[in-house]
Amino acid sequence: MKGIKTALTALLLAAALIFAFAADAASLSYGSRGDDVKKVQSRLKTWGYYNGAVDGIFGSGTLAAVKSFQRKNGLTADGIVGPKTAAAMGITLSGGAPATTGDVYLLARLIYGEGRGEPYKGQVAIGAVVLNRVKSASFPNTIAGVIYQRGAFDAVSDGQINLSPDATAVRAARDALNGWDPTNGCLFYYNPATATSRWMLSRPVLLRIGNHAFC
Amino acid sequence: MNEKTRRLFTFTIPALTAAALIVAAVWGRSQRARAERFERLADEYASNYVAACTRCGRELAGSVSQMESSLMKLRVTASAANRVLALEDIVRESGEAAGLLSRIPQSQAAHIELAGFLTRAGDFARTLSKKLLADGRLDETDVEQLEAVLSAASRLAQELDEKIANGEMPVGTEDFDYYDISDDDEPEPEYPALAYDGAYSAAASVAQPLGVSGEEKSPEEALREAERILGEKLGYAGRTDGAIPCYDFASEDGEISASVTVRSARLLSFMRAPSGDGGGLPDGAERERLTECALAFLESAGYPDMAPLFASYEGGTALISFAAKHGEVFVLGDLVKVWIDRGACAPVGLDAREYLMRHHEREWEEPSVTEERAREAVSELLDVTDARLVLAPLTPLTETLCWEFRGSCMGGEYLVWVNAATGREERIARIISDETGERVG
Repeated sequence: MKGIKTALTALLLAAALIFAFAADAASLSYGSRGDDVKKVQSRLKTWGYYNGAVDGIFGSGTLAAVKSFQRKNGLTADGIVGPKTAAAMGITLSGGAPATTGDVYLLARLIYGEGRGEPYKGQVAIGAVVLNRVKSASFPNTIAGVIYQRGAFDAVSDGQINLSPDATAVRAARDALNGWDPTNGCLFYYNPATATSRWMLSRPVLLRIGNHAFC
Repeated sequence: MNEKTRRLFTFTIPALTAAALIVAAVWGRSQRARAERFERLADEYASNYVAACTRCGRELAGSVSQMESSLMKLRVTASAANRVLALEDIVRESGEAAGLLSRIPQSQAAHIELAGFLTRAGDFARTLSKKLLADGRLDETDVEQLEAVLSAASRLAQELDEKIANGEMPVGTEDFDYYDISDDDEPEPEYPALAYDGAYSAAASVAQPLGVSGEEKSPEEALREAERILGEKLGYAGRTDGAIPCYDFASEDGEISASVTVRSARLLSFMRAPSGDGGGLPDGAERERLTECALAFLESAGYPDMAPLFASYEGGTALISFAAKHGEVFVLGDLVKVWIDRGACAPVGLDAREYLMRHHEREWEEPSVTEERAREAVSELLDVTDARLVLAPLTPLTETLCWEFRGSCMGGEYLVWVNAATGREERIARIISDETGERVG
């Protein structure tokens, strides 16, 4: 009887170890180490959640930062970077490169600064307007050039572009960059409740999404 | 008054008051110095900003003047090689001028035509440069249009010089509205409309969708089509009259957005939130499953005979680009992107804008250059791993049958298109591969 109990215990322990190993392979938690942890730390640091060193060690600072990120993005704040948290951060956990680098992140910051609170489609539409300008002869031909053209976007003028974007804005930026254009080629948008520019108000509106008219 | 009280009034209180006054004076002095420092800093920033804007204005005038000069030299250049060099100078100078114009604090509304002219002048010069390299000569229309560009550049150079001389170039500290034109602003002068086939040409910007030439459908008909394809209950959300007029639909919870073209009622785009499950690069079996799922969805959405080109994997979705395939030929202009949720292996997005802009019944000649002969045009440094026939959209308005060679060279991967009629190398694209998949750069 004692032998059976010992065998069962060993079996359960082995199963638990295998399960833990499998879980580790697909998620990161306190005590994890490696390049994936570095990716998470780097992302959290860029977005202002984490102040520590990007050393690839999942310590208490990283744990607190992950929980903070999860709370802000409507995820379960368990401090574990699983597939959903990783997706919200725009990273993959199998050695993949960050998905939200460079232009994606800049565009996400603009979308968040200009359109947080707008429906998702409206957020993608803001990103699409930026990209339509890049393709137009009448605007700068880079994303940074369009976004930072003086006076072009309120979020740049009032500094809201420097806020950390949430996962929705990052996804909206990625969808816009991947080609989704809900505006059908628009170059401008404005809020009819607050816009005063006669030139803007005189342009034919092609569609409205949330609080914005696109033209 | 006892001795203790007397000492308090004659020594302690005056001493404490004097000490407090001294501390207040020192603190006040340091605060004043601090305020002066901030004021100096603010002045310094303002001066630097004005200097940066002034520099932009002067460099803009310089770039336009150099552009004018290059256009004048082009007039008298007889050698094709020197013409190409002069045209490339114009490309560079117009690009610089357009970049500088965008940094000057002036209303975009007031200069939208000027910005367009500068960009198009460079794009036109690049198109002519390619033409010269291919054919060795420019035709009469090209020369006439170059004269029109020169005339506009000369006028612009003079205007900018006058503005600088009169101190009218905006320097940036004043308030301005990016989207407004004041009553004092003169209307923008007209710039030449250039007829050519380039990325920024007017012809490209007003191109009509070739893939939606059928009858105009009602919103109800379009809604039925969207619901049939997506298998979801949707509601009408409006009409968008853009490059491809479409009806917009959405699910009640707002999770699904779909657009269906007004003409022919074709699914233009749809998007729904993915589950976010699934990370890393998929293995061969998952890749095949995702592609099969996308192909089945394309078929049901009215996009049959498609073949996968590239795929990337981010945020729990696979984004697969498909091109139409006719026989052995991949029609790269007929491009549809499909997003597949990796967790559920179900479609969560589609974008058929490129396809609907370009798709039409096409005819092309059989390739007169064999694959073997075309391969001779490819650099010896490229280790070719694959070859296929493609109808490549080399310009916004033209498509050319090419042999596409995929190969690697010193760690980089490339696509090389060789004209299947002339055997000439037409274009090279770099394949950017990372842990999220592949894309063409």
